[in-house]
Amino acid sequence: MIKFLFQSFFVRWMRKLQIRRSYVASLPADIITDIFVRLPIKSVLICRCVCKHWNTLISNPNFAKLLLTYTLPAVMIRRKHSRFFHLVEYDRIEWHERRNNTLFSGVFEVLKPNSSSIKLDPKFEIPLLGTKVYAVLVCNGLFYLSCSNNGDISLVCNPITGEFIRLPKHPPILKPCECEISRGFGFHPKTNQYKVMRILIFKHDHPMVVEMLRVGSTTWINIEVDYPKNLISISRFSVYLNGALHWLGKDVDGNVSIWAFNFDTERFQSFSIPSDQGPKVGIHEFSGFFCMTYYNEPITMWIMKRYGIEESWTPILVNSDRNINSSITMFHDYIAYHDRENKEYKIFRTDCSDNIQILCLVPTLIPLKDIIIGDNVEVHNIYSLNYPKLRFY
Amino acid sequence: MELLCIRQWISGLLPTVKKWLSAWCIKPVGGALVRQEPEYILLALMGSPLKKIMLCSSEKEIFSVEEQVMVQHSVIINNMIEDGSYNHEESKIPLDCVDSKTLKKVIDYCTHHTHHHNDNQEDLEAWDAQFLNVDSNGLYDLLMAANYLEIRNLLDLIYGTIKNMIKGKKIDEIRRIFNIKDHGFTPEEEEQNRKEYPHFY
Repeated sequence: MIKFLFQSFFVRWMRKLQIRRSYVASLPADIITDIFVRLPIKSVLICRCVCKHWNTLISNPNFAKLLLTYTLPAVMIRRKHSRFFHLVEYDRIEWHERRNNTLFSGVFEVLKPNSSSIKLDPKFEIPLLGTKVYAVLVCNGLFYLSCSNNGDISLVCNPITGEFIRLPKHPPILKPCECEISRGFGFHPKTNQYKVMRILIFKHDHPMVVEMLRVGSTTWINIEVDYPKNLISISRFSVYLNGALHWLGKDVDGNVSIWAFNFDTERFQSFSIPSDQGPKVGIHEFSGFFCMTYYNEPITMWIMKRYGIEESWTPILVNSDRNINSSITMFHDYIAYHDRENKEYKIFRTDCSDNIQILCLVPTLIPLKDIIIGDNVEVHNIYSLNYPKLRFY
Repeated sequence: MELLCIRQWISGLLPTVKKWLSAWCIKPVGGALVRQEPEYILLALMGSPLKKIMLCSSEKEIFSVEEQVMVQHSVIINNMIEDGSYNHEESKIPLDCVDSKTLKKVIDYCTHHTHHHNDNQEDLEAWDAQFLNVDSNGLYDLLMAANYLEIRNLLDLIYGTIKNMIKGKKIDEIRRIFNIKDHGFTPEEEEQNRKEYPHFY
């Protein structure tokens, strides 16, 4: 009975709450800003287009910095080779949890071609018409995109604002057929710079070539490193954490270890893996820790509780019910971590084929020119009126 | 036995009790007191009410409130009392930005939350929802009052309400809800926005 009464209050309240006079314009700026920082990033972008007053408040660079302190990490997904990225909205996901079968239908609906469900908006288009986007790496709020295999066309972009900068061409590879290419994209906290790396490992006794580009500069630098000569291959894409890039490396005997390149020391350091549970492994970042996942039956995840200390590898349980506020569950080929209390979530791909790529980023509105330090950094915007001229083939 | 004596005393002191009740913003419902903690009734009957302060609205109406209630919620009032600029015997706190109707509601909110902070979450939320069952002007006035008096939890509550009005809506809907007739963009800017984000409209 009481519930019915309250429900009717709600209905009446909803009807009454049509704002009759435009008082919003007279609200002080700090109150409106306080409301904006509590909105999800998509609503902030919508509010930016509602009226000029709101646009001015949101376009203020200080607002972007303030918003970043409130923003939670978000997930964007894309199909293999596609240049469309879809932002996953936390509120649209249905976190049904049944035993051993988690369904988060809002996440993957967007990718079905004829899906009748609402497409997740916005899709952020990346301006590379006519090419396949081959590699995407994430660091903080930025994407690094590389097209075509030799990476002649690459750029760093912020998918939320649509800004991007083109990176200079790689130095040419002498023997392209005989080497494996691995990439990395990370952030150097001490110098506040973003860095892109490319590592070439050749088959026949040719030394490893390590190239680094500071985003904003115009030349790639070769780095001399000491590395063990029996290292024969490393994973194609890096994982960024704690000011260092990490790859999985395999040596001649088939032993797998983790290779970390520290931007401070500009050296490689290796960590051993927690246990030898087979060749199907993956590394990624999880809640601020470095994490390693073995894709066996059942899936096991290990986190390095203290970074750099091999003895601190600790297993975490998948499918555990021990905590009602946060849970890790599996859905087909994906693992989802959901922290109900803080409204944080992460989704990992377990299958090694990259049919659908999942990218975890911290959305930011900070303009690229404030992030990328460099002379003559030309920032383009996919939404600018000049965009059609910037197509590259 | 004791209860009988107290009851007789209540009927004798009814006018005085009613005055105290109105000061604490409690309305007797059908002759019975609604949801009161026993200590407060007992203290009233013993004749030593808790320390009260006077708040003066912009319309020069005086409201008497328990000091503890306001101090717990409003940072401004807390600071005023702590640094000793408020004299309990004589002075009243002038709140020229807040009119009587809004001030009454704010006092209502603070009092309810102080006395009922042990209730379960659902009841509190239901009460809050009914509390915010006001028209747009009332909501605006409440927001400005809560901002002026720095009442954090009331502010957060109102922010939550406005946030829900914005979240999940498209641009045209938001303009309609907030009655923004003139968006202030030039025609080129508006067209640019529509081209960049067609799915937002």
